Amino acid sequence: MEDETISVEMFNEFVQVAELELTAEESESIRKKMNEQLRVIHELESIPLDDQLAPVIHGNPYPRDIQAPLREDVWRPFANTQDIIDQAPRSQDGYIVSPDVPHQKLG
Amino acid sequence: MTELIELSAIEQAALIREKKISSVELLEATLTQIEKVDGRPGSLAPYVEQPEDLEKVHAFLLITREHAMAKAKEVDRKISSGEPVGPLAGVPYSAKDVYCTKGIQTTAASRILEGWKPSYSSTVIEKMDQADAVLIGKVNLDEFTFGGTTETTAYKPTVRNPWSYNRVPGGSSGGSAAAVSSCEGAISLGTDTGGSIREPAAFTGIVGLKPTYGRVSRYGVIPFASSMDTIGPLTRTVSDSALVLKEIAGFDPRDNCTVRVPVDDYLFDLQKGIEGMRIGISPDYLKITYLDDQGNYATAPVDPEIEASVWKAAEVLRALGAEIIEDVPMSNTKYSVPAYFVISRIEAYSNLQRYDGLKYGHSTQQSVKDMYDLYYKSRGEGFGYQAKLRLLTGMFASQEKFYEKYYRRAQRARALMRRDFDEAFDPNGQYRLDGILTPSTPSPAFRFGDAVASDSLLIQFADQFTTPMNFAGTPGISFPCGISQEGLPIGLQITGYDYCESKILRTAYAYEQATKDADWRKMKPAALR
Repeated sequence: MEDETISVEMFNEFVQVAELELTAEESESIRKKMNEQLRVIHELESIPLDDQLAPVIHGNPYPRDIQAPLREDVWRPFANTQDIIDQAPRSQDGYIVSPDVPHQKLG
Repeated sequence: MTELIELSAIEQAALIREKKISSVELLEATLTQIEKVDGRPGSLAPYVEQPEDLEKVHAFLLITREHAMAKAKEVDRKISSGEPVGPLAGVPYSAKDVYCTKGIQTTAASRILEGWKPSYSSTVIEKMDQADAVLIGKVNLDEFTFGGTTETTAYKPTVRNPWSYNRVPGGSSGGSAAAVSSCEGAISLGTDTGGSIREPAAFTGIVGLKPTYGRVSRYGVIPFASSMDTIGPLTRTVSDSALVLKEIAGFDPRDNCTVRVPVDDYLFDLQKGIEGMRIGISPDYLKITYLDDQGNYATAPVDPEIEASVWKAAEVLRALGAEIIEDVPMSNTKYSVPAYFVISRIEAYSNLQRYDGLKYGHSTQQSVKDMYDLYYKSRGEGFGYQAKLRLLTGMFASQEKFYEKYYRRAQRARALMRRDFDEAFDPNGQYRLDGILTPSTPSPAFRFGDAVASDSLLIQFADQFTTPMNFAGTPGISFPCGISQEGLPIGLQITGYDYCESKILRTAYAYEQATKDADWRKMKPAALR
């Protein structure tokens, strides 16, 4: 098994990408738990898989004769869009209001 | 009134159709039972345990009294005016709170969805409405279905096992199981991604059916791991599960994973019996297999009472004309835990990214400097510990550099597990099975806190016998088969091949009928005593 651990720096990067704000206690506990769980993930390496074995996305096969046909790309208006907008914490004139979106320069 | 609420859904619907009782009368009896046994509903308010909490079921998050009363009156009106009614006319049912219900709070037992009222209902809720069933409320679960005990819910108090209040009801459909077990409605709708219908059904002494992947539409149901999520009923009788499945199954253009395979008349098929059916028993489902500290596979026996139940049930089925095939190899079962772990976390991570505090649900009340700050704070406040852990673990495992090593390897291991089922059920193969009889769980319901604190392998691997079916996409049904010496229900599982729900329902029904006069069937949960 590979001796791999999730460092504090690596963990903090994950938290940032996951768009989460964690308390110090949560961070410590979750990072510890994740490192424990790596053991379970590494068990995958001990599974004997022959080279011919193809991955599957779903367990049961989907032969074409039972597959859902592709839908026509038809625009269908939703009956009550205002109801959806009203679920947002802040909205105005049929739009969801967000705080400022900072511009980020893509690297 | 007690007798009325203890009837099956089929019996209740018959009484209503025959005008022996009204739908409103049945609804009122059910609501009275909820008031009697359920206690205060789960809430996001800071939880301070009260002595009375310890002897209540706490299955419900929300009672939809007005909605239910309107539907019950509509059913009564239809019947009195001679209009046709659906097969579930007037039968009260609950839904796990991941089913979107138009205009009715839907929480997934998470703070992140606080206050959300969907603008639409899930397909299955619509189908239950078309069948004239009466939605009485939404029931508690593990947050986003992440767990097997219902302890991870953000809504406290959590659900207690109606048979023994200091035991978990199982999960994640713990509210559904507890509600049905304590006669708070004859039907509850659950979801099953790794055993979340079958495990709580086993722990609470009821029937839980996980259909084939793609058999029932998941449109409008909050997802966990989309390649494994399935929907099914929890009921007190096999016949009720058969009837509900018939009503909710079928192709739905709004769920592209549903299939164009005819829906059987499951209820009618129950009468066909099991004469000549080939039922397998696998040694790989009579032990827990795990990697020990040295990295070698080791095994541990299941609870002796559980194993004895399997063999006893096999004898019952044999006496009914089934052929019992022993020593069926399902040797890849042991790989289900790591492979399930990786795939379910990655898919959960993907599904959790939609909650942002901006469009619906919980939004932080703290001041924020920009949109990203809103995301961080809202998600940090809104998600519980288990959701955060799974989200981050899924993110870790889904990194591009680990694609081959983790996700793709897990998908290949999935193919390996599927091969076990293909070979066992191959009509031209060595075994030619119609079903496989297994324990539903390695032990009966355990105590609160043990899922985290106990080092018992039987608890840590509580889902080892149920996750393979989610991996393989095959159906499984858990049904009660006895009571342990500690007075806890024991559940057995029959799993079958793709779209063969009819066969597993027949098997469970045959067992149920053959044991209907058994002494253990006369025992009742503490909530009903």
